[in-house]
Amino acid sequence: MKAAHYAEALYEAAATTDEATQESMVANLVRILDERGHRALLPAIAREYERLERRRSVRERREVRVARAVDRDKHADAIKRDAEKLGVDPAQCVTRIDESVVGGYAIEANGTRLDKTHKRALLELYTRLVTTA
Amino acid sequence: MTTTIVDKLRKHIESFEPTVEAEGVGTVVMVGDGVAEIDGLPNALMAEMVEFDTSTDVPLKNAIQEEGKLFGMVLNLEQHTVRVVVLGDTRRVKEGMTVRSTGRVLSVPVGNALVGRVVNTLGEPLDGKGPIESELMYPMERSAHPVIERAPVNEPVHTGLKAVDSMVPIGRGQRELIIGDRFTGKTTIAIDTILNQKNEPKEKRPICVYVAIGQKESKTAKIVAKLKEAGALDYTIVVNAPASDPAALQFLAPYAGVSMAEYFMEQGKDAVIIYDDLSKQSVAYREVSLLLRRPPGREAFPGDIFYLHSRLLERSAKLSKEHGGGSITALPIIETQEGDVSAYIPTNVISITDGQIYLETNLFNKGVRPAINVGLSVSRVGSAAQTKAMKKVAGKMRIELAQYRELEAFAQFASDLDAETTKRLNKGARLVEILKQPHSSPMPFQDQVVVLLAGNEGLFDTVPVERTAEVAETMLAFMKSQYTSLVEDIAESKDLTEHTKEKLIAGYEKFKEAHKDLFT
Repeated sequence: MKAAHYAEALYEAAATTDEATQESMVANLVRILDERGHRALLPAIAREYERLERRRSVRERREVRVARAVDRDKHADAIKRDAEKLGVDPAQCVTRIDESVVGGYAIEANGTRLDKTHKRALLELYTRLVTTA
Repeated sequence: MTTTIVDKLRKHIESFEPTVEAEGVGTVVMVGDGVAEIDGLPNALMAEMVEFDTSTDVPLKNAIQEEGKLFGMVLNLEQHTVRVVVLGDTRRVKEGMTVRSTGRVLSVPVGNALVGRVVNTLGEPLDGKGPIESELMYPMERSAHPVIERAPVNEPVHTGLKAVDSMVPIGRGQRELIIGDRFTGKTTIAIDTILNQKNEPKEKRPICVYVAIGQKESKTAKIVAKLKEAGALDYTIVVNAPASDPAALQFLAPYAGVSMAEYFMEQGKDAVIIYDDLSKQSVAYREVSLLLRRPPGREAFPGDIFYLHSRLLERSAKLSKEHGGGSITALPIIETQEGDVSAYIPTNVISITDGQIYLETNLFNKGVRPAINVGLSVSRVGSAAQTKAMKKVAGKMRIELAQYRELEAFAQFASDLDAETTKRLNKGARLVEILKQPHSSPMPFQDQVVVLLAGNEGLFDTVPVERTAEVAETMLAFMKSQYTSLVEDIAESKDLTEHTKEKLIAGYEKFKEAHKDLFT
């Protein structure tokens, strides 16, 4: 068994349990590792588990990307409407400042994105001008 | 001039409306060896085209300087991730890059705008003649036409090669495999077929598609130059996926080519498609499959290697009149190792196609070119794909040649041969000489009929064996100049009437009289 397999098994099992159960799961895992002589894999299992956590947070990302913090308020109504389209509460969306978007906003939730940034529009305009010219 | 340009630009800018739609997105978590692992893309479809957002976290002025869009194709759907083969330069993909769903499967532009062009697997031009103006896109993966929409194969595709058109005839809608070791003339047969289509009347001339898979760019460049010089590029599309392309583009190239050919078939026209070669496509597909961690099978090929070729070749068909009557004739090429036709990939493809043309190295080295082993070559469509004229002259040739090959081996050991055996040996040797043909010299079928009839009538029986080909050429030139109407009659009627035959035989006698020095 590889560390990734142990980590994945633990991750799947812990996904729908409470904290108390998760603690006993970890204790069980350590016991099994000892029985199998795989105790040395524990640090690697921890790293793999963290990686799975990071990937889950990327997957479940809910964010609004703007060029400046003030843009979030400026486009509040439009963001609220788009958040409803994506089935998410706008208050749950984290604001991410990305100056490269120039202006406008992009909202992403549940693996879907609505990109209304100026950067996207400008790139699209540029592509059209270059290909039709 | 400047004001006009500024006005045009202003007009575009003022009328610009950005298209904003909800799109499925994911993030690249790992990339390497042409494969990217993506988290997200919850509604990804198998074989869906995705776009890598190369402007992620990049300032606008740098994003503009990017080399164009970068696409990928979804090939593995896993629980939380999706594996995508990158259809371009993998170095442009970075971890953390956003990937967008396009919602459509991988497609290529199709239409008349592609004829005469050299394009890559994605249909992008490579010949420097400007963008392809085509509005219609066909998916690369399409279902083959069902049985009910098809018609029997009954019209010939003339390759211009005497040995092929007489003994291994190919029909429109057939799949005929060209198989042999390296440097046995496989590509030459394919290219000569394309060149010969120039001899077909324009309204019946098929559109040719040459798909170069994993070839050297220099080889493809030579082929394109040859086609251009002969005026054949005017009815040919070249799809190029060279050895320097990612494996994904190499394995997809044949599907791109057949999609382009299907456009013409569904318009009621005929098309000929050459896959050069499917051995390299198999290797590319194996590479992609192993990188996607699919379990390897025999010779490390994935389990669906047969399906890779069967679904490709099944798209070549002859459609019924109700569906336009168009066709795609496929000439797939397979390279064998040391003549082993019983290897994995060759046997797979032999079982799919409607016949094979088997080329042998030792025949090639002996100077028999095209180096066709008549015994192992077959066309399962047979004489249904021959004109009446060709049927009449080619009827017994396979058997005669097969008998000659048997006797040839026997004659090496026997000292006294009876008259009948000697006669067969002499005739067979001359038949072999008649069937030899230099490359890039395809012969219209009516000329082939004249030459083969002369051989059948024993015209060359008293010609020294080594001079048979030369005498045949001289005879043909004589007949075409002195008996033009007869040759034209064969071309038009596609038949050899008794009257025409008698006149031709009389012509042969006149030739013999006029060139006594050529005969012993």
